[in-house]
Amino acid sequence: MLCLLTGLTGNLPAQQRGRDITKDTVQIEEVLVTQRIVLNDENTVKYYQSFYSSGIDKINERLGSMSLISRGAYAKEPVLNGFSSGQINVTIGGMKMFGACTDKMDPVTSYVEPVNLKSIRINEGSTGSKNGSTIGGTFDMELQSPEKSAFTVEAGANYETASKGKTVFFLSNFGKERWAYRISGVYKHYSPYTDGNGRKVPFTQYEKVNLLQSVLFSPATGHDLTFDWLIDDAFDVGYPALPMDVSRAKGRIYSLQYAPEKFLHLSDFNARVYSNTVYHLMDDSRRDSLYLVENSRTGKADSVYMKMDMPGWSRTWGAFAQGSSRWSERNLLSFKLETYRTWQKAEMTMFMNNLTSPGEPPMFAETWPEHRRQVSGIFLKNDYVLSPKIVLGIDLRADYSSSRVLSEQGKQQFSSLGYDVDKSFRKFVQSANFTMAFTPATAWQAKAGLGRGERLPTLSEQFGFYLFNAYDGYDYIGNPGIKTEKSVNVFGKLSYTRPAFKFSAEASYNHISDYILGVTVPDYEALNLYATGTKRYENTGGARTFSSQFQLFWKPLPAFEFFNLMKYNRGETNDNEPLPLMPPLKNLFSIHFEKRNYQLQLENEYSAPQNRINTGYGETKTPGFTLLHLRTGYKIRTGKSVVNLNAGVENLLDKAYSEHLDWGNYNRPGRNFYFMISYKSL
Amino acid sequence: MPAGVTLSGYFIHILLMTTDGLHVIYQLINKLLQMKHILFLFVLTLFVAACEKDEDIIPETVNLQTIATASSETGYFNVELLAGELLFQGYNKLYLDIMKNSDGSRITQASVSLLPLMHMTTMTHAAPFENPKNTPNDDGYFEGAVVFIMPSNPDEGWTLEVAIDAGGQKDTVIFTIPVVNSLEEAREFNVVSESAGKTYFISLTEPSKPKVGLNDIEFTIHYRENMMNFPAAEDLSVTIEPEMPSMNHGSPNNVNPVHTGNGHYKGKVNFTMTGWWRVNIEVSKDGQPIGENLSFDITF
Repeated sequence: MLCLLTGLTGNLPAQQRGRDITKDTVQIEEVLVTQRIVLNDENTVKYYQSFYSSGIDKINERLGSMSLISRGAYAKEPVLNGFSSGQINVTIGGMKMFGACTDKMDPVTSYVEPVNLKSIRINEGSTGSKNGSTIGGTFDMELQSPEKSAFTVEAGANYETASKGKTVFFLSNFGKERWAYRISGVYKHYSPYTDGNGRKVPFTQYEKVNLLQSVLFSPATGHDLTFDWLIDDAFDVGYPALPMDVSRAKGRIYSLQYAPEKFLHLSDFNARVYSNTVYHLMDDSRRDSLYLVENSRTGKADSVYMKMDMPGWSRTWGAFAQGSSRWSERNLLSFKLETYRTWQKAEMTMFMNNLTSPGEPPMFAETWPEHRRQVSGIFLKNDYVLSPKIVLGIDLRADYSSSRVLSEQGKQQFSSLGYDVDKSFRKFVQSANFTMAFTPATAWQAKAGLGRGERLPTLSEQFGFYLFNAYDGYDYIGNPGIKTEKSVNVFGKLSYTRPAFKFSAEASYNHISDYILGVTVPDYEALNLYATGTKRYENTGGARTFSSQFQLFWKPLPAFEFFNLMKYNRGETNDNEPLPLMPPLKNLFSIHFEKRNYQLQLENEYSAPQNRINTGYGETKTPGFTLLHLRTGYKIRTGKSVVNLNAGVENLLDKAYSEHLDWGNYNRPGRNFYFMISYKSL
Repeated sequence: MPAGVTLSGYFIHILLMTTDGLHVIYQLINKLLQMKHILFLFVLTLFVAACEKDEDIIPETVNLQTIATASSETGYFNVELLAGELLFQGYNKLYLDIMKNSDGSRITQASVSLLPLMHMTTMTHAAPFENPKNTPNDDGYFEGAVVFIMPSNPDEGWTLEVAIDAGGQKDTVIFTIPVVNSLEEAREFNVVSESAGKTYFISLTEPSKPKVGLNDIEFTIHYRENMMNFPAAEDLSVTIEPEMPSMNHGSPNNVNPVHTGNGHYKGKVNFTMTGWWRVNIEVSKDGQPIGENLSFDITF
């Protein structure tokens, strides 16, 4: 919020603030705000963000500690140090949002496009608890906001060969002294792409529209009200890894934010009320029976006759207030109070057209029984300056959650599994962290921390009803009595920062207890045709994960940049069984050259083979691969306008490959040329 | 969807949605005002969570319909025969409203015995039945049951003889049952036991209103002693196994029916979703199976 204000009011507040800030407090803010943000990542984000036409997934997969679970060409699910789904918070400007898809085909990241993304903030492990109780961390995307006293227009188009992908985008900002309006939108149409073997990968098409409109209004100096309204619509999204596609996905986000320059004795104060809704229609109307037969694990071929609809709904209402107070010379207290209510429901209707028994009525079940969860939480953090070189931080978070199954059918379904769910399920979760930042010299910094995190079970884990998991081929049922998952973690980080040379190395270890995993229930038959059996979510004994990353940035000449990112994750249960969906070692290396109006970037992407697999989860070994990408750019400047011409080739060697976290081992795109033109007026 | 269509249609759509957006702003502001003070928000929600109440369950009432009305042979009683639905082949609960013809007052104490008879062109036979208790239920009806073991047709119909003994006043009413339907999904069938050489009549009485989840399942089983006698079979063992035939899966947590008296067998059946279910039944006597491939179809 601070930087927003400085941007808007011509640096005046920042200068005022700058006068009474001592060196120590600058460091306090660093520990507070950018707890563990990797500075080098910013280069990556900025570079890819400049291509408004590329998706957010392209940015995400290039961030340290991030990986993506992929089920198709669109909407990849973020993984943070091997943690995913309910283990991490994925928020938009601190706002909670929950997908409406029982198969996690609509991660929250799919609603944000580079054209409306301002920044990404990652807090790993339990230090991400400011935005909600977590064990894996927080991935927060800040949306762009309108700028006062400014007028900009930007528009562009992009074409990609592998998928005949077309993208157009535009953005405009119109700002006066007291108010500003910003609109940005992108439209994408991608056909099924061609892989490295020259074969078309079916069901990798998608089409989407994303539009963000924001209005900023200052009723009085120093008081900013911002209303954001985001529309995201996707049509005909294919998922090659699943037996179904998405014919319609609809996301809406509304938020009203109040950010005063000063509020009581608090600084950085802002309060937000928000609401978001998601509608997600999964169906197999585009699939022919043959496809299912080929993918069947059980040899059951009856699916020939069946069509299935699986719509899902999610609505979230929430509000939070946050701020900080320097209550003494050496102490900075920051807080967040938050509450949200989320309502979710998903259904499955199966239409049979069985020749031997015509006229059969459709079958119906609530795969997510209509459900409501109310969570209220408080977060407190105090940073204490022990000495000019050492800052200590302690943070605490507690959340109270109450969940309830609302629909009669949902209650009945669980009665059939032997549970009485006609009551409120209440949980109290707590997390705490102790962090230390040590700055022995200007360029050096060491950070270390010890924390404990706890997270609420997801709706699928608690009340899911025979949810088919295409990865291991099992139907999953929820466990109403499931306990929270807990983790104790330690991390350490060392960084060195000079303008032309930066590096950082970090490692973290998590010890997870009550680890939530699906466990086979032998006497429960699978409900879906192509499922091999039924699993129920259980708190299994324990698990441990280790994550590390190393980043290096070197700028030997003003025009040259080298950047290398290496990330490695390892996870296993207490019985030394590898955890499923753990990304293998990955290394990204890039050379960036920029002079006058020319730009050239060469990238190398290396992924080690993954042989540590969880066979119980249906995992197979994934071979390693090496990719080369080449990107070029040219700028034409005329007066106040800039025309950007970009062209490049991804997967230059036309390698046929798939990543370990890709479901179904379908191939990623082969050699892909892209061409982009954009216009910007300042 | 072609790109052009989506684009142009889309922006019209967005324009229309501006009103939607304004409505949401209004809602947001309303919410804000309701919450009075943002810092008390989470205290408030704790309170809301604590105040959640269970909804009251309204008991279901059975709407009875009149099947037939008749006076007794001497004219002393006037009796109305009612049922929850049109009579069908299977186990039917019957309700008798017995009144004195003289003053229209209800009989509150009587021994009532039933005799259903099927008048076929070549012969007449009875059917299994359950006589009412000596006192009526809370609504004033004498509650009995008849298992109609075949449907009626224009040439062959059912009658029901009701013998009433109210404090020494004995009389008989004979109802002509207008119609006994044959249901699309049979709720009764008969099966011949090879070993015992008997014919058994198995009726499904519950679930009468099947729902997703755990349902009561209840059968009545009678056997034919002779054409006029159909006593309850009380020494059988019954197992059930539900399945969705077109999906080839069953359900967990079923409870096999056990005899609870008078030929009634009660258990639990689990339907995990709506649709076409088949409840497979195995009936055996002294370890010897009675019939094979027995099942009831239940679709809802």
